[in-house]
Amino acid sequence: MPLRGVVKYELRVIMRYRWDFLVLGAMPYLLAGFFYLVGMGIGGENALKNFVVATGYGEAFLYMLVGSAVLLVILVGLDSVIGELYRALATGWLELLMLTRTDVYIYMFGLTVPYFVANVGITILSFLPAAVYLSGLFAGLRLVVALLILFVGIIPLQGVSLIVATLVIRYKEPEALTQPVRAFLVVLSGSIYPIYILPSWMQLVARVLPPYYVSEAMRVSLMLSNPHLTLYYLGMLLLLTFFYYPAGLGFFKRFETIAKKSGELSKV
Amino acid sequence: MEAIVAEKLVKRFETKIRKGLFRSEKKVVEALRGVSFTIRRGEIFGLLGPNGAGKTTTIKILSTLLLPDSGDAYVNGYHVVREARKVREQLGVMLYIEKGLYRRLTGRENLEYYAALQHIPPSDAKRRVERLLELVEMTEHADKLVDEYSLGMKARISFARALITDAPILFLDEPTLGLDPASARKIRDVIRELSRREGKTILLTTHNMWEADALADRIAIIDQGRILTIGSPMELKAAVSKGDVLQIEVMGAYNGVIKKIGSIGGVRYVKLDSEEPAAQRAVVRVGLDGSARDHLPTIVDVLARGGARVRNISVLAPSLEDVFIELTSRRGR
Ligand SMILES: Nc1ncnc2c1ncn2[C@@H]1O[C@H](COP(=O)(O)OP(=O)(O)OP(=O)(O)O)[C@@H](O)[C@H]1O
Ligand SMILES: [Mg+2]
Repeated sequence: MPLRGVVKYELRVIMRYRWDFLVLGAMPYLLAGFFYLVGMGIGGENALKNFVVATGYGEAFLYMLVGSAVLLVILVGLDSVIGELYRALATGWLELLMLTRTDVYIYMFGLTVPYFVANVGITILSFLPAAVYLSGLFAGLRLVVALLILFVGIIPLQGVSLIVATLVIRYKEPEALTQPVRAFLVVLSGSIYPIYILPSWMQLVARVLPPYYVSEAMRVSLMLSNPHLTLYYLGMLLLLTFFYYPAGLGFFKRFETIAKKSGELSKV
Repeated sequence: MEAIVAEKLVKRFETKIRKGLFRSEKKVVEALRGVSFTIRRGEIFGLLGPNGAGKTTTIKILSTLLLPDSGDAYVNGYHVVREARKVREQLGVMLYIEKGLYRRLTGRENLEYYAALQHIPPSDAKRRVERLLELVEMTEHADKLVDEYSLGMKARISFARALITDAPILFLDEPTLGLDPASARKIRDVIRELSRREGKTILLTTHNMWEADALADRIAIIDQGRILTIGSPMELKAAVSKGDVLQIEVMGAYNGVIKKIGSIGGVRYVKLDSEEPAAQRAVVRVGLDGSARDHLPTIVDVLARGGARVRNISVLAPSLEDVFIELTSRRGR
């Protein structure tokens, strides 16, 4: 019930900023188009052939589109969690929230749902035409699977975001911390460039972070329809969920205790 | 049983004193230095003190948002650290006047959202919110975005939010700070009504002596993290009303003269009420041991010899302000 309340009213707040979301919906196309053109420009005539050889995927544009959507989900997720937590702290809302019967974690989770419902909505809107155009109507079905994966991937991503957000509010210099983390996450997500181009230690790190599995699973389900591989990626995501979500909450719990001692709850 | 018991609460904050770009020094602020008091069921209890006295810190400890360094406190018998959840269930808290509201939601939506967070079923919440909006006279503006509210309207919504769970105990931190007289009066009226009709226990902080006098059944005066005295407004005033209080308006050299008045026998304290240096004008408040008649000639004489001209003198009945001045000056400030 409190969860429903959080989702309902937070969604309402978001809906009062409609334009942001429409622009977000168009973003994957802009990004994908950009990367596609850059790739064509650099690769010249053989660009698409090389692409297939290198990635194993036939549709370069769709590949980029999936990557761009995942990229946006990572960034929007990270920014919204950090932004909301920071705002809650700065406006005194966090204290008021702590006075309620609702667990702050329920609130945090509830907070992410509208963002991701909106996000997934955007992704559907932006994907449907592309998917249908590129792969025929059957793609519609695969699309549903791909979106489900995105949704499953959101939860561990939230955990990661919460860890970063807690560090940010603890050390009070949001940009210094978020910018590198953001860049790091994007590179390690394999959303635009496959991770095999990275040094091997970075590939290893990428494999213990959720974004990589989200982009791969979405691509596989959308473009290769290899159920085994899809399931493998999904399983990894689930595993990471069990790690990152509690870890995120743990970080936050620790911050709460420290803040109640130091008085940090009421100032930024 | 007492509604609230605070026993020797101590709270220190570590702050950094910045010295230029990179250097900083740690400094410990003693916000509370052993605060004790009890609040009876159904009482309006005023915590009165100047800025930085420790009022908000006290409220936050009692509402479980801050952990005390030492000392204990109980709300309806529940310990604020060990039984924090139970404590919160007893409380309706107003911490800020305008902070913590969703600007992109209406007043009504803000209240309904908070009700949901308090686990109130939506249908009950709707009814309760409607009633509270009426109580604070906000029905008319309930469906505007908070973004468009005046400070007074935000205050009323924040106040209503504290009442949403119909908790038996209310904590109100400076509930009328910065409000115009009409809004402040409305809030004070509701506070009185809640106490009288519904028997709620109310702890409110204020630095406004007059407000504390008008509202509270009992008052604790707090300054620099210490409780200086506790009693009903009558008792507190009676304690200083052994003598008259003079308000003297002087022109000219008043700076040195103030000190001299302080050293006259029978003068309990002198305080500069207000001054206009440009016009060389000041209003001085003088607390006496006995009646004005006995001391006035000496005081006027001292003033005249010091080169100050007396423009006006009035004899006042002691107010809480005098209690406060007396208590703080006794400690040699
Ligand atoms: N979170 C904090 N971190 C550091 N110092 C703090 C913190 N909160 C309060 N203090 C310090 O503790 C002292 C008491 O502050 P408090 O807010 O309790 O005073 P107050 O009586 O509510 O004053 P005001 O009338 O200004 O609201 C002040 O010196 C203040 O600077
Ligand atoms: Mg305060």
